Amino acid sequence: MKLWWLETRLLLKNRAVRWLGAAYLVMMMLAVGVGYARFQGDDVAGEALKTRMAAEQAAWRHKVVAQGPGSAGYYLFLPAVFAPSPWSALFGGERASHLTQQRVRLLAVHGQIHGGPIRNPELAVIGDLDLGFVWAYLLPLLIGLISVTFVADDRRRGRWSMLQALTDPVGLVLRRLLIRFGSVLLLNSALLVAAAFVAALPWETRLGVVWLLLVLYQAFWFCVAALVLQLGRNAHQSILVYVAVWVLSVWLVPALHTMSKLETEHFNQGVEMLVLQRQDMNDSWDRDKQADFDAFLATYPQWAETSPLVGRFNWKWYYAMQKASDDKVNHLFEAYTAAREHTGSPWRLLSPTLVLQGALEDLADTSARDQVAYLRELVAWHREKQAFWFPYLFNDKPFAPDDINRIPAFAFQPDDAPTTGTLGYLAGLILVAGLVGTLQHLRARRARTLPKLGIQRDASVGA
Amino acid sequence: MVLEIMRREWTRHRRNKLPLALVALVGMMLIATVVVHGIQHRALAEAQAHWQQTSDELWASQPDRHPHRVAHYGHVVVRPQPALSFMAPGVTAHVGNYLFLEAHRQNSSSIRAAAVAPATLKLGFPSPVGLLLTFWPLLLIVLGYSAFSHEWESGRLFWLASMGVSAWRLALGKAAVFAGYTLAVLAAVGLTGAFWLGFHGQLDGAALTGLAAQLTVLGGYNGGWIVLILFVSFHSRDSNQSLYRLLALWLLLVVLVPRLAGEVARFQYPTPDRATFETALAEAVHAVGDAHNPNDPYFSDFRAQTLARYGVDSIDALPVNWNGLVMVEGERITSELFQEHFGRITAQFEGQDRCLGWFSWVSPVLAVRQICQTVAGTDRGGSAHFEAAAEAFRFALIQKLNHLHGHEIKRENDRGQKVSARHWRDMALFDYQPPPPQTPDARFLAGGLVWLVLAALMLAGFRRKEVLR
Repeated sequence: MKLWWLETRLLLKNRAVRWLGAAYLVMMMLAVGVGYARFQGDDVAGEALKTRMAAEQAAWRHKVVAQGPGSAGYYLFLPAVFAPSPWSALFGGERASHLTQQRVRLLAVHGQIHGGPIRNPELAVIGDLDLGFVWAYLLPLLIGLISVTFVADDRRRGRWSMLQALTDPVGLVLRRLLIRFGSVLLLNSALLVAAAFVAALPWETRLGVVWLLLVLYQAFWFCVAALVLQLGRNAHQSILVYVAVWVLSVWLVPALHTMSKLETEHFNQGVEMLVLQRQDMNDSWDRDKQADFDAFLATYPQWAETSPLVGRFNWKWYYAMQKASDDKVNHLFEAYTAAREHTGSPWRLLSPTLVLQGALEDLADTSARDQVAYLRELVAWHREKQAFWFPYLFNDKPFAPDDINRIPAFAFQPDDAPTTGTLGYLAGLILVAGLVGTLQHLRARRARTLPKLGIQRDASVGA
Repeated sequence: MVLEIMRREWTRHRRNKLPLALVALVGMMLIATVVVHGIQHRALAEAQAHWQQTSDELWASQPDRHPHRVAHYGHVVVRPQPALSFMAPGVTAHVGNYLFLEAHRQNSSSIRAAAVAPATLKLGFPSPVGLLLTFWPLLLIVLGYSAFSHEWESGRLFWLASMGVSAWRLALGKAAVFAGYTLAVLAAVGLTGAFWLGFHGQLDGAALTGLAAQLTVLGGYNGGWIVLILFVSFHSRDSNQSLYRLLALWLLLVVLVPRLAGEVARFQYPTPDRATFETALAEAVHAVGDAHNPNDPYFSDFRAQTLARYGVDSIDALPVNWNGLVMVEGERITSELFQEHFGRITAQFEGQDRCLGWFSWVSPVLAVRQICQTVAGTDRGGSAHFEAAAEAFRFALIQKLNHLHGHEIKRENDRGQKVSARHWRDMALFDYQPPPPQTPDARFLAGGLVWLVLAALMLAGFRRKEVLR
């Protein structure tokens, strides 16, 4: 126990390590502060929109009877707010680059919901600061800096041979790594708890899952550091190798992941959906209206009990055509959203950083998957609204003023993907690293004990 | 002497193999980025050309219609990719590359192309400029952090001093090796880029000048890093301290300050979300007047003025279709209000950009990225230019159709009439002319200059230093 204590003191006496730890802590605190401010703004804006639109809805209470349900469907916008989870303060993810608050009326849904947010693209290029970024991208660097050089340093200062003679070197290295692991974990956990208080996170299993993910991710990078130590290179080379692995995980693989999705087909999906929907809807004005309407009623027999069209313009024909144009492009919407979920790319699995990022964002409801779920829910909600309004339009159901409150409201709670996969993935990586390390160790020991190969490679050569 | 030091350094790196392997790896990554960007650029260009053509054909093949139906039929226009966007894609992935134009609605449905949201890539969209801004300095750091400190630790510095080698010469020799790596990589990127431009027939004077300017700026930026690395290495107690300091600087200048600058800019110059913006705009339009309401004060005035202008006393006696006139007036109002409201947002964006400009004095990454983007035409200004041109085109097109509505359609049975399709078949299609290359904003240029001056001061400092501290 005394050894552990002494090693800890040795680590903490290092001024550079203290500075690094302090800088890391400040960075995390800034990230949480900034993220929380963003979450609050987001939350307030969503609530404000809902209040504003609720007033508008209430104003239609008597107007529906006067102006008819057709006008109500045309002029009355309803809010569809994807309220931010408090966790989005920590893991902002992709939320800022999508529309999360929309106002939708009874027209074709695909003509309304596929815009982008108002955001200075220059800021988007720079990227946001949040705790997820610090953990997934910068934490590995901290781990590498405090871990991969200590053997080389001892060797350079001439202490290593003495330490080797006095104690079991493997035990020493493991002890030092564990102490570093513990210190970093303490720092991160303390911040997580503090952030939970600041951002008023609910005390739920998610907190535990986040912590577990953090532990495993940290452990993985300590394994990388251990393997680099095992190579027995000098400090300079160890740093080079570690940073190379880091760049692989934080930049190269994510870049390849993106590149694998940049095909003409993907560039086409969105615009194809948009153009075909508009095309179909606009052309319907020049087609035989009754024929189109009959075809619509054949598809939706629940509204077939309606009178034939009279006059040049009829609201029920209008909304039927809007819905029919949506139906025309529904398969494109499916393809478009499926491509945006981008869960299928095998490249992801080569980058623990991307995997962790995905898991954290999923827990915070800020991932691409959550955004896609929001869009799907929007489309489903639109169908509910149609089911609400169509009896007034098709069957002349009388509108009572109180019916205004019965318009389906948008409610959305994304579900989290099971995190067992991610946890298992990280655990698997650690296992593989442990296995490789053990095999290396055994091989090295055999090489050392074989009399013929009695010369041990002097690792300090090559500086 | 400097040459001799350079040769020794080079020999040391060659023997070590690892640094050279890394330099080669990053070099290959850079070239791969250029190539992959080429492929991606072409895929997007192909998709855009396809949809522009499809949209133009759909537009021209419309049957005889009521002009207002044509106005709602709308038209897709695409934002062409500047030739140099493969070097610095800039805002390309973050803005819409297609724009749908129709009556009463502005920039409503901009579809973004990429399947993977660019936000997934926290360290930037892969591009040569991005790599040379972010990772090349990191590579230089891990290669060079011990340039002086290791000489000091190994005791070589003592012998070098006794041989009369000055700090200045040692610094120059070491810097020359790193500069050599950087120049080699820049040259490789430049050649691949020029080849790629030529391959697609875009290799003209402007593109070459732009490419050369970008490479020069990136060279200067990385030159600054080389000097900084040697400076820190010289002034550090040991290699570890030097590495810690340099990585801290890298994190600060490359990762943290730009992000903080972004947050500060957003905080200082907030913008509303789209739903709030659209609600406010709709309310403003509604406040002006309601064309459908016969007793609306604004449109009553408008009617009185119109009747007076034509010298008649009822709208039925007008020689033109009153409904068409209302359409023209309505479009003018919505468009004007949109410009006014969106102008406020643009002003906020400009404020945010100014904020970034000031921060670029601290973080050269902000300065160099902005300069490269402006040179490539992929900055916000470039996309704003397109949006403004598209909006002007939209407004003119819709007003032409509204004019048709007023003059070719009788008020009696208005909606039942059609005009010949030849009217819009002849309407000129959107022919977007990208702006000429812009000069980067003075703030960012000054930011870059600050970095160079600091580097020059640090380098000059070596002249007055003894090798032994």
